[in-house]
Amino acid sequence: MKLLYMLKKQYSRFCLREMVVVAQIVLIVLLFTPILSKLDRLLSIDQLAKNIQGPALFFQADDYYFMPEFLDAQEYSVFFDEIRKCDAVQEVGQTSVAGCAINGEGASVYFYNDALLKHLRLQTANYKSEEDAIPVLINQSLTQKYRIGDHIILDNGTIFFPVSSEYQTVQFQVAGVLKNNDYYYSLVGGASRITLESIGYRDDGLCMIALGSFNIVPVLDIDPSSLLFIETECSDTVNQINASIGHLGHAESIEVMRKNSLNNILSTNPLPFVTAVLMTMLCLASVCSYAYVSVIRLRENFAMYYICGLSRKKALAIAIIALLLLLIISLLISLVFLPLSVDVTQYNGLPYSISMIVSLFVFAFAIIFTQYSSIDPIKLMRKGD
Amino acid sequence: MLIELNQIDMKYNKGQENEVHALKQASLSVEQGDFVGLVGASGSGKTTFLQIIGGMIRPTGGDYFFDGMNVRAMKDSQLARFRNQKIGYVLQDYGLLRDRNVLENVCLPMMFSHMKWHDVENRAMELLTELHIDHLKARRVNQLSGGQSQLVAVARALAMNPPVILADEPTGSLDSNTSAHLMESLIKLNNAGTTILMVTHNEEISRQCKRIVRIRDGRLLAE
Repeated sequence: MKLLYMLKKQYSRFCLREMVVVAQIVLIVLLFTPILSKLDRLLSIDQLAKNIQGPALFFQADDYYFMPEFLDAQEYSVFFDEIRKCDAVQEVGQTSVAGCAINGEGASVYFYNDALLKHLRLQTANYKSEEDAIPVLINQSLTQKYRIGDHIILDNGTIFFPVSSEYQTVQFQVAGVLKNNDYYYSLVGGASRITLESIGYRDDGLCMIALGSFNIVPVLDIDPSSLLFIETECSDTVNQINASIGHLGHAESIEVMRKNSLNNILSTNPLPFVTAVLMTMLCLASVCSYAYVSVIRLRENFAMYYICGLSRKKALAIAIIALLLLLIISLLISLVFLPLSVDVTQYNGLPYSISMIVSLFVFAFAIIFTQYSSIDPIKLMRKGD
Repeated sequence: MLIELNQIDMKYNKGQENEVHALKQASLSVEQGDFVGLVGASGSGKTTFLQIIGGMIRPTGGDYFFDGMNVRAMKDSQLARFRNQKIGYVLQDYGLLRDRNVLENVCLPMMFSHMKWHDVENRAMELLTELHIDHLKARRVNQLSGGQSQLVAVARALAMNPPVILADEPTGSLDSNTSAHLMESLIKLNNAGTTILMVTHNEEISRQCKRIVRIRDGRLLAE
């Protein structure tokens, strides 16, 4: 009861200042959360790339065209269950046969990225919705020589992926991303091999695989990019790959992709970001000035508390608890209104929001601590000598 | 002996260029029930002396015992409890908190004790009634006269029923009539057994004390 009373006395008479501070924090959380959400997705892509080790294989199987030719339904199911057990397998699903034209020449595409359908305008069986779209391995060797069930060998959780007639085992690693490359989905291109070899084919085996696209920041409409895989043994750098791709596209490292994506966010639609940053600065200034003004306003109280028998530590604790309460209230209100700002079912940036509020608190705490520490209660009340 | 100060030294900004030697080898003994007037010119060190007795600052040298307890050796938390339970402090400018009413100001020291909320309010009302200012309990302090404010400050000082009241120029901001009234209240308290140490530079006021201790340039002079 007494603690509550003391806390209440830390706040201004009608709590107007406090309400302004709470409103600002709530506003900043609601504005900043979508940005944080996007950054989180960006980082998760980065994380995905880092986590892929060993044979990284993303693919879809075709139960309508290819698989039934080799396996009955049950075998097919067992086969994919086995594949799913492999650590390296990210996704298993359907695929389709498609055809496309590259430089006017026809090419067959057996494994494609559903997510790219709308970009490719492929002639394909229309039995899948875009919601089902998942990344898929596009491999020229597969389309030319092999089919799933023929030469993909599963052994003790590892996929051996033969890329040549000698059944050479290939390991892949993430090298970067392919950007704005209209051709990377056509690595299979039979007739267009001359233009595609530099990307997808080397004499000593497959050196590069373009994976399906993903939207880094869908809301802000960043260009789709593809993870770029190269064979572990491949000594090509991203620069060398770029040189070989020529005008067909552009590859860049994950680090550059991350940096550029941030730039893209800013250049595509900077207003929310800039507003959020400005609001953050304003909020920081507001919280800090609130903390400072509180100390100034209450320093005589602080001096009297000291004289009447409250230790410095306890007086400081009361001030900190009062501030902490404000920030907790802000966080709770923010959480209530968060669905207005982002799709909470998709949002996993809560730690960011909390850490932002905690950062504000740390700044305010530092101000309160330093200001209260500098108060000399005796000097403040000393009128004599 | 209730209060015993031996060879108290106090230096502000010790070791720095602007070091001030406020108290020099000051010794004083105070019995329970004493009414001591500390008299001296401005800057003589009397307020510093009072603050050391009140446990608000630690002397840089010497010994201070209160009812047998070594005050100088107390930790911060012990010193805070000492100020809360053993000392009542009356300031020249009253030291009332402007964001609270009279009753809340009187309650303040009890807020830092283990007293229950209900007892706190009862005790505060009892003090206000004793000092005949219970009708002011809901007033904000900026609506009080100087005399009323000082009586509220006295009530607050008495809240924890401390054995010692320290008064730092309590009549300094009051007119002569109000001063006389306040002195009557202090003498009444003293007669009831409360030990009082009062800083003043008013000779007339000091003459109402049982003992007068003079202080000059940080040194206590013979009584």
